[in-house]
Amino acid sequence: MSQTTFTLLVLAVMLAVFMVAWWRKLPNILCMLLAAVAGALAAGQGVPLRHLVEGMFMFFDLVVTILTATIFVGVVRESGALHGLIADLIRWFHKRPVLLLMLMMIVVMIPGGLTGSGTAAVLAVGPLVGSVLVGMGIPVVQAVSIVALGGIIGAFAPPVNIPAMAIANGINMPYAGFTVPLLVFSLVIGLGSALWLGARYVRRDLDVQKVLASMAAEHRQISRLQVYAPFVVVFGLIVLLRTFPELVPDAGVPIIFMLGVLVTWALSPKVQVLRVSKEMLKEALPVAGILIGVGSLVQIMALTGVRGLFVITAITLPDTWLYLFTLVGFALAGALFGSYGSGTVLGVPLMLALLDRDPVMATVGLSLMACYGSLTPPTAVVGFASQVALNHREPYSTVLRRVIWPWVVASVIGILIVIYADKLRFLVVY
Amino acid sequence: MSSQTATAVQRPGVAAGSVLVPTLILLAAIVIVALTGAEFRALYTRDPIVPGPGVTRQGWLSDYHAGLSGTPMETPVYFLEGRQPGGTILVLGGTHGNEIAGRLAAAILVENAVVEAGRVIVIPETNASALTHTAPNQGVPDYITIKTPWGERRFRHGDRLSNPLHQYPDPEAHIHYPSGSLGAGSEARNLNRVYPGRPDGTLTEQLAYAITELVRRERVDLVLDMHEARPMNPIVQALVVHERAMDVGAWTVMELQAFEGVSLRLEPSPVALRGLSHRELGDATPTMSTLAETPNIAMDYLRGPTDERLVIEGRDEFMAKAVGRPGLVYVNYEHEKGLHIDDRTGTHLSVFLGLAETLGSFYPDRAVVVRDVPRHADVVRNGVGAYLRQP
Repeated sequence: MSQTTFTLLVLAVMLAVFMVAWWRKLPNILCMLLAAVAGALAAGQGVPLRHLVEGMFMFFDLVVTILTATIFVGVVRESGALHGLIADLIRWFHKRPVLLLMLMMIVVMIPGGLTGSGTAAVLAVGPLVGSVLVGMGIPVVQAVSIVALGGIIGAFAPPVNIPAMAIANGINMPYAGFTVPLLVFSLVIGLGSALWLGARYVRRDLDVQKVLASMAAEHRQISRLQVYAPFVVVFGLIVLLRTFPELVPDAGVPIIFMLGVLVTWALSPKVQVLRVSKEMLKEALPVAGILIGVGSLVQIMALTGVRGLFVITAITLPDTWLYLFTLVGFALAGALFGSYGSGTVLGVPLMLALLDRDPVMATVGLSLMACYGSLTPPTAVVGFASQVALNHREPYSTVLRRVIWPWVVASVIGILIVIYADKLRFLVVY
Repeated sequence: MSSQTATAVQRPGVAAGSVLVPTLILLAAIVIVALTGAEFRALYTRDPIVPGPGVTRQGWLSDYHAGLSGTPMETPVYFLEGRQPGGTILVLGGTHGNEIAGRLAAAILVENAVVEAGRVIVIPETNASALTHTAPNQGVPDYITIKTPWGERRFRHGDRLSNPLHQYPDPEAHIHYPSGSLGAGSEARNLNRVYPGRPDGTLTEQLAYAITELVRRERVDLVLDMHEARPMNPIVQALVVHERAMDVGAWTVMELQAFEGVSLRLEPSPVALRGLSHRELGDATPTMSTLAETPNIAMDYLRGPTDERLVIEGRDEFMAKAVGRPGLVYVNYEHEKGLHIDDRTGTHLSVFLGLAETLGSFYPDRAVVVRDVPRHADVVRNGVGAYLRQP
């Protein structure tokens, strides 16, 4: 049996077991672990415990970052700082509702950018922003769609873009030089999406008090220091670390998030940090679980040669087919592995086929397409999370109909970034 | 009454069920942690190196920087000294743990070489920490086994970076000392990105500092750092030389091609690429610094099933398919022949011998005369195992 046939058979077994586990509605991490074990068995490797455990640590640092960032977002929300920030934005910009709409989009994108998780972003700020959007006159289903896209684009935005990190990690490329292109494209696509979906509905005669009242009822009146200090500390330290790395001691981004939690707690001691941390960890665990499962799956793919099969297939495809495969592949793989998994499983082999162009820009384009995979049903984690956040009970297809065009446009932008990566190299700033 | 009884009966059942599943999961986790933990822990046992007749003394790297003593970076240094005066060559194996051929070549030198003039200093496991783990997502074996005339000898596979358990966390970006050039955060654990090192730096920087100190104090004339690379990496099957070593390197490459059929590209050490041994050791000391790269398919992304056979035989059908595509693979790959460990290890040994001979030709007062080291053709004919002693 040729190596290609052998690895195709192993891949078929992995996919079959994954699909059966998925159909049986097992958690994503179990689907991936079962597929990994089945792949190893099919390849004659037995149950390679060492490989399964070792693979789980592939994204260890990222998992710690996501967990700490999610705790920070939860504590900031609990302290009332998030509420205070949004209330300030409404007071300052209510006479310019279109600008306010764009600012609300950025508010959803920020936790996504910090945590790399669109799900965490929409769950953390979706209810608040959603109520503001509805108060501005935007229909609920449009508001859900805006929040969902905010989560997706937030996950794409800097500083933390998990698919880009995974691709960079997979080809031994530093995750450096990404900030400017990610910022430019996330703002253009994010704000464009918000305007496309919401601008025609926003009321010019915005009733500030009514909108403020429509936000979550329970909130503390806190000072500006309490509102802004946590954000200043976290963003300030991250910016300082990246701007003056030789001057600022680097103890890791998780420590910065924990410092943010400490500052919030010191300024708002009534916040029950332990309780909020436990709640937020529960929210973040599924994302962590996917990353842990993907790690094991990728390790077994490398062990059995399936990863090599992906690589040889990608690097021998003609360019046109490669681009088509990329567009369709990310959309479909997102339903199976989520954006993180598809970034690793598909993104790395595709990037190896694209090494003849600027790798940073090509990775930016691939990661953009990977992030939108979190909207693909039936998994659609970010889409469903947005419905949960805004208590929207209609079928997901109603949301999908609204997000489909922004998604198509973003994917086309993604593939154009890949194609014209060299011409866009000027955006890469180290 | 019946309802109360049903409730009373049901509750313990529910409680038992709710405890049973988590308990079973916890027990399974403990068993898995114990089993895999033992396997990972076993990687801390050093591979045996059997000092041969040419070893005159053994020291430790901490002799050159006391800060390494008692750390996972501590590693043996073997001295092979001749009766006649001459130059000094330092040979580094295992700068990157997973680059097996360099480690095997260093072990063969320690176990076989006899120096008649000058001296050879060999560090077979330069980054000892890198040998205590393997990288997640690579799926590589934890050991490889070499067949010998007396049985089998096992070597750890290792990784290119220091163990994160020994140096954590990685910074956002690795800032090379002293140039300040930036790299990926994980490169802070890459010995070959942190030269010349510093005494108060990270463990990996201290390791680099100790090696730089050794080069200074022992007045090393020539350094050979033995590596392996992916066949899809443009710098493979190459000898990279600092400008001070250009003449010696160029002559060696020509002689290897002419007399042994060993083909290597000669690559000048890029001035802007900081932290690598061929650049920094040459800049920081008067030594002639060189680095050799042989191709190892098990390190490439493009590979099929990854096991000991792939590491040793270096044959892969996917690589054979890729060879036909322009600009992808930078080595001459013949599928029937593969990129065998004997070929790769033999190449390193011939590079060592070639450099030693050229050094003596160009600088007679710094000659290093060595015997009983197999050349490329010997290793290909007899196998690596023929030159490994029984521990």
